[in-house]
Amino acid sequence: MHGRVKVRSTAEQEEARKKERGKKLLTYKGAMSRVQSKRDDGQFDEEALEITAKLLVRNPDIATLWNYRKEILQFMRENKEDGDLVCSREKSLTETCIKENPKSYCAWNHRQWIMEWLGDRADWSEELGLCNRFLDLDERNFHCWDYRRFVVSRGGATPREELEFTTAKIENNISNYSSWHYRSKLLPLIHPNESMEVKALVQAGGGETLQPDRETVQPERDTVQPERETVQPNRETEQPDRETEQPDRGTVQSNRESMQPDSETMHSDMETVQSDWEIKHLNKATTRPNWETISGELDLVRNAYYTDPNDQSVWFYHRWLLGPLSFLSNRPSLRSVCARRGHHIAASLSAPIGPESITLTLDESLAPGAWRSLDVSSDKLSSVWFQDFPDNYSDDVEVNIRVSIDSNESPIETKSISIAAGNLSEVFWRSPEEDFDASNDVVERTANLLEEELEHLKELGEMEPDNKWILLTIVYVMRAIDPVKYIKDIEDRLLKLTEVDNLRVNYYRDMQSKYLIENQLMQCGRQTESGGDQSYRTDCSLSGLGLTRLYHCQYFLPVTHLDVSWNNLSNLNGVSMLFHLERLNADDNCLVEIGDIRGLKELRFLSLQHNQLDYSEQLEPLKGLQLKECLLSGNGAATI
Amino acid sequence: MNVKDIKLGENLPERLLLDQHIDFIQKYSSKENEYEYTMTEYLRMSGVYWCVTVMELMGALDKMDRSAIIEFVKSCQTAGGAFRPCTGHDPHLLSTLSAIQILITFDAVDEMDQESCVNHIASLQREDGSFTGDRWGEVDTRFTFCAVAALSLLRRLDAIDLERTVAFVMASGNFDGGFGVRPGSETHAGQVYCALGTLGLLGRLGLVDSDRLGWWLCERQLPSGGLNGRPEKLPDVCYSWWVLASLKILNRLHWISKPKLKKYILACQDSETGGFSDRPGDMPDPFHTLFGIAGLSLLGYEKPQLGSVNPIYCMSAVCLMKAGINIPKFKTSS
Repeated sequence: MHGRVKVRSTAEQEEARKKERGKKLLTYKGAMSRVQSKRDDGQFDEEALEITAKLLVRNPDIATLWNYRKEILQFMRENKEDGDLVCSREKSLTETCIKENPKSYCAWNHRQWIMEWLGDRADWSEELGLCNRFLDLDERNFHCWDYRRFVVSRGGATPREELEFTTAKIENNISNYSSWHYRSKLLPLIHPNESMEVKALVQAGGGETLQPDRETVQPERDTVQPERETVQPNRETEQPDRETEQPDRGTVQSNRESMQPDSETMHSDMETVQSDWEIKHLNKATTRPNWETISGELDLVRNAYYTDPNDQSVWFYHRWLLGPLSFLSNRPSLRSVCARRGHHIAASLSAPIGPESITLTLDESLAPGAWRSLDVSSDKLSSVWFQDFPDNYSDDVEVNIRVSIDSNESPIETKSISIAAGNLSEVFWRSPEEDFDASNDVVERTANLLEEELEHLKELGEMEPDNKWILLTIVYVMRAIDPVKYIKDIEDRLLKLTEVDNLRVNYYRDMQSKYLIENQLMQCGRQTESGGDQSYRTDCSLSGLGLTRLYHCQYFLPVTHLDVSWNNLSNLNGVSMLFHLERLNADDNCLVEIGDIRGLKELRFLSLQHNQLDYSEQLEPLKGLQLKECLLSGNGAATI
Repeated sequence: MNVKDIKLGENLPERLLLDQHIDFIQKYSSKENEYEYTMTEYLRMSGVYWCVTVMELMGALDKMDRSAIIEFVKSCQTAGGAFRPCTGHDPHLLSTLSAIQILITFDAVDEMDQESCVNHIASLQREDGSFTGDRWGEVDTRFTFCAVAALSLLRRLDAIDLERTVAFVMASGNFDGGFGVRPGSETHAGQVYCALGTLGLLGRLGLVDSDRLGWWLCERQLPSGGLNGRPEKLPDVCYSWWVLASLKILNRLHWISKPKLKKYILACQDSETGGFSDRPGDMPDPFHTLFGIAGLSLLGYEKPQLGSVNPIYCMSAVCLMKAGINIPKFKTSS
């Protein structure tokens, strides 16, 4: 279906082709019909193997024929046929098919099935040899790479040998994405990150120190068994009881004890199921190599980008390599709690979390209500939650409010606030500075390495001033070193990027918006030096910043007055999180869409002048709001 | 090193040849096309889904033989509950999803045995949360998507372990923010679409590094305006769907150049026979026709207007609404 060129032909040629196709069709139909009747009759014999082989060599994607062959092989084994002969024929057939069509899922899968079937009698080095040959033909064939990982998981090679293999490929070839990708899996396995932070997090989550077997390359240990029992899963409802979802820590620990670091083989250890937190954070830890490895790897990377600065795969890899060793910033952490008597309690976090992971207590009693998400796109994972303030709390008495995040989602974190007697509300807000300092794209402050890298990149940038990869990478590295110091340099480069890489102009603009908002938020934090809870602002201006997107809205939870006028916003996505918003000015943007803001129950003043809200449908979201004033002049829909 | 790409030649179609595409799809099962049609019978159910869906998006569903198609679909359901792609071929999760999508589009989902189908799909889930395509054990995040999409259309997501489903998807995540066939596999746009579709249906898009993945996705756009499926590959119109729908789910569709992509998609039309091919000058087929049209729909193509398409299911939004399927909201927060 892909890459079939439409060929012009004469009437004669057309006629000849039709005839030939007619013949092929008859042969095909005849053979398929014969196969079907034999199978219906329960015939598992040589003839069936012959006919299916002939068909498969021309049509390796007919899965049913491979299935029939598997049935025949099983039958033959039961009847004590020579397994090795049988399998060598399958190997030969699959290899022929793969040669014909290197991207046939069925052919590769059948070969894997055969190897599984052979088990200990499989010749893994032969299989590795097959992979070598096919990767020589096409270094990007992911079927082959996946098959290779399967072979390696059975002991066909060690992680270190595989790493060397990828090194050789990278040094000799041009199209290296698959090799860099494989390295990203191998390095953490060989040189796991066992920093103090990782250990602390693991312990907080209740486990022992990590061993490298947690990360697997091909967790297929329990795959394809002929005639397996089909899995009867536990039919959980959508909100599983948290208790039952705990991984069996006992099992995991005993496995760890028996595994050595830098294990020569890679075993699957997927018997235990990881919690959301583990998935997101521990996997991130174990999917990162240790610091020494990263600096060593940078040499290989630099070599590659100096050799060919336009080789995009190395830049993708580079971005990951200099990613965070500290992933603490991605751990959901409380950033604000806002409570208002008789109304609600709302909490925002640095990253999304499920409602089952947050607990609310008032005066030591568990709150009776349920958390609701302020992220309109999900009620399962959100970074802003609220629930109704319970009844029966008198205004004259102090009430103590405690919000906790429990250990399934992240190490336990608790924040307590009190609404004093006679007061209506209380706010806790913490600057998210640490979320952006060790943000998603940056490494912990090993300043020397980053500074050095910046120098290399700048030098290269001078030789290739229009190379977008270099420009963009410099932006990331600068943000990692000092987002505030480099703000102008970053802005200049992002602007340059919109020129040299115009296809992605909106990406660069959104990134600029993200960095501006992050810097603003960091500034908020730095204003208060008194430690403890920094002051929050209820009045916030993001006017005239050229914003194209509103990032990090969860951090603006306490805000009541927001000004986003004179920007380039085309929608107000994210604003739904500003639960306390009373006044919103979004004049002079390019709004074509308002977004789902019907949850903004406190909103009384809304100004949307000079936008592009030209049709009444675009104003639908305004229904259901309790607005006292709404300004719409300068829109097509204003007259409606 | 030059960027691998194609050059858009002269005299390529610049407007949508809607009537010709309708014609192309109608003729696909005709006698003239018997060879092509027969040689692809191993994926017939999916082929029918592509045709039915694209006709609906083009406003021409009434031109398809509704009752014959429903009969065909019904005849492919096995006693075990799964659907064959065609008579004489073994049932599989891929054809099972396609069958359900066809029935929903024709508002005939009650004509199948839902209970046995649900039970069968649930039986394909393994300990680690992954799904096999059938009893022979191949594991692939595509099958995860098939299972979750199928069950959500039948409103039976309760039948499987959702936490483990999500765990397996995330375990298939990579250094670039993307997703591969299974844990350890390289990121590929098709698998990204399957992963995001799964997470989207289960409300777990918050687990995705959207800026990182969005960047990888928008880097699929080449100077020709077309999209490839992974770095250093040629553009292909089907990626106008896998990549574009993925960006839509992440609320980052504007990170590619819409006009340039539109131009590329239109250039992939075959002005002689109708239909779209993977790139200009190649043979058209229903697969690429659906994804070309669906891509244009996501881009908001007008004149003529196309039916609105749901980016997770790749089905007509109107049909989903009629069937009472709750369309999940996509990422609206960053």
